[in-house]
Amino acid sequence: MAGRTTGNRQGIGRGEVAARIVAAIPANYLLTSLATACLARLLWRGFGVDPANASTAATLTSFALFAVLALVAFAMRSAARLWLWMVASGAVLGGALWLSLASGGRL
Amino acid sequence: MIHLLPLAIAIAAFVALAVSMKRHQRDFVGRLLPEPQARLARVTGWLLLGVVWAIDAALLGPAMGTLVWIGEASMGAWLTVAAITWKAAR
Amino acid sequence: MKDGLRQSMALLHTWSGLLIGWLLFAMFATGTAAYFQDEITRWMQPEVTGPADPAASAQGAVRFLNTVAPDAKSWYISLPNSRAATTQVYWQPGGERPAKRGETSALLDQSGHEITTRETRGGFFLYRFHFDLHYMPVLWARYLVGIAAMFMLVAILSGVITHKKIFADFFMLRFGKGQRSWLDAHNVTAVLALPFHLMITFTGLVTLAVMYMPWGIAANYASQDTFYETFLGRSETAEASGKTVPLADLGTMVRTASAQWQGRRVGYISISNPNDAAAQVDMSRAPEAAFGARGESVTFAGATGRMTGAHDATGAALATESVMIGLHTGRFARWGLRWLYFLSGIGGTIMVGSGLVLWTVKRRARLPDPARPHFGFLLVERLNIAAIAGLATGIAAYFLANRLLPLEMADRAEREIDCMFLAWLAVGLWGMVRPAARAWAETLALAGACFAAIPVVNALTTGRGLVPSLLAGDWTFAGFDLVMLALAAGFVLASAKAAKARARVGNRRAPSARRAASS
Repeated sequence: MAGRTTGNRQGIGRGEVAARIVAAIPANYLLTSLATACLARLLWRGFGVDPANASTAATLTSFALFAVLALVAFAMRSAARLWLWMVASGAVLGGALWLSLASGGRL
Repeated sequence: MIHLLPLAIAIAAFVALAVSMKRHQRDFVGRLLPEPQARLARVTGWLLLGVVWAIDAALLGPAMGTLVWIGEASMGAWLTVAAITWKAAR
Repeated sequence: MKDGLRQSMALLHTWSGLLIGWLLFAMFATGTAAYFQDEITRWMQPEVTGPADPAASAQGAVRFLNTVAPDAKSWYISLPNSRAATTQVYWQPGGERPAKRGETSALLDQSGHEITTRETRGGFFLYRFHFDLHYMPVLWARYLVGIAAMFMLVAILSGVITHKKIFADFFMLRFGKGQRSWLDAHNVTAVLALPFHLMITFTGLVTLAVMYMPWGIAANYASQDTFYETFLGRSETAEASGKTVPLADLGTMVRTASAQWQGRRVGYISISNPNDAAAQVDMSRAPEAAFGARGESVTFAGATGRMTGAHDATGAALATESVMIGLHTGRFARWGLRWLYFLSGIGGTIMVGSGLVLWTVKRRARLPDPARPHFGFLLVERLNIAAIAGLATGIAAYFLANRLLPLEMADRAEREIDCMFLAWLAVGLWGMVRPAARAWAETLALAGACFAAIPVVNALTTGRGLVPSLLAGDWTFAGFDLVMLALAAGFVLASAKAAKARARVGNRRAPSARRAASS
């Protein structure tokens, strides 16, 4: 099944595959890390969960998030749109994390 | 020992589920079943799996019961596959 | 769009599966064996008999430690669980002189005598191998294993998306149909234990979560140690006072701790500043005693034996993590569930193995010239032989070495492990030099023969062979030998199938070869 698909997708070049692999692994890790850190902060500072449980809950979620993002990186039709989304959400999460750390600090 | 009864019911459940699938009806009944009967088999299969869960949960508590249920269901499915494969090969 | 999604998921499934398939196979195989690590250890220490009582074992350990390291900075005692008989002790020597790792640990029986014959790492090695690997730094190994587990998670999810249809007709294996049979085997093993595969992969990542995803903790804590102190409840260790006071009876403390936890077993004891007025004893509950792997702990003042503190991690997320680790390791599982774990693990191993073989089977038909495949195909085919038949032979060699190496050999435990990898390497090389189809039949037969030899060698070298064990009702030993025979039968059967497939492929290829020769 899998092997034959390359023929139907003549439009996909090496560049696009590389873009998706980079998005699915290193960029995904970066984005997931940011999201995990933000979630840990949000649960603790925002919802009043104790920090140990907040950190653990965020860590447990992170693996599911990474796996789903890896699938999305290959499922989205346009690699350009994919990257746009990733960069945008990364910027938002990074900004939020920076603000939260600057205002709240860590234990 | 406590796995025997749930396992037997799980096998019955998967046989029922297999009977509800077109591809396996030939092996079990020798002909295609009309849709109402297939649906009955499907519902019976899921109900029996529910019964297995209820037994496990009652005996072992919901957490351990669910875990054991997954294991027994896997085993039951394996034995069903073995039976179907063996039957189809003859 | 829908087709596009299926195609991209199929590609993802194929390539993420292939890339780490060999490592995953080894992790699944040795991890599955680890469900019986205590039984394997007992089989590999035939001189040790009988169960062990935790309180008596703790007292025995203290007697031993008092003779070898009375002035140590700290003692660590890992008590036997209900399936094991031996106590593992470590100590951190006092004074400045550095000590080698082998000189600060010992394996004891219940009465505190060091076990010196037939030094072995037993089933514990297989357990550690499935996430620490060997001959490489543990840290690298764990990152590799984590990457493999994440690929596995992605491969499972993309596999489900690609092959939704398999849920409609997965109840049959068709044997002897080439590619179709391999696809059936892969699908059936995948679907029937899908909850297990998802659970084991996800919880596997969770066991080393802090290493793979430290940022959740880093976001709230400046130092990881602070995090650990809050949830493990480890209190600050006091400085030694310099005044010598012998340690109070550890057996009593073990019974007190156990009573505190409604009779659950004590698993692990650490003692700082033993035989000092400031001695402190920390005990944690045995992982096998409850669903959650991480649990309650208590602290005693070592000099008086009075309980000074008790701790239990609380909170939904911490409890979830603890249960996830418990689910992965299955330490709480009794016999029935333990066998279900083991069989599911075997199913997972077959799923990974059949997936690897499927990659070559699918592509062989489409090779431009099947007699001379391209390099990538050859590489995958050879690595499959090395990974599957090689590892199996290696594990069998590990068990055989345990019975055949001289009992008093220096570094014996390490040599047993070397035997495993040497056998693995030898089979891998054999697979490189022989024609692939022939190599499959030969190496699988070799694996089968090695597994079959284990009960024979066991009966010849110890008094605990299959027949005496069965007569004595010793199910640990009898069960081990019977599983070896079952594995032997499985590999011989697989070898016969491979030989038959080779004959079929040979017949099909012959006419075309003749045509090629005559033209």
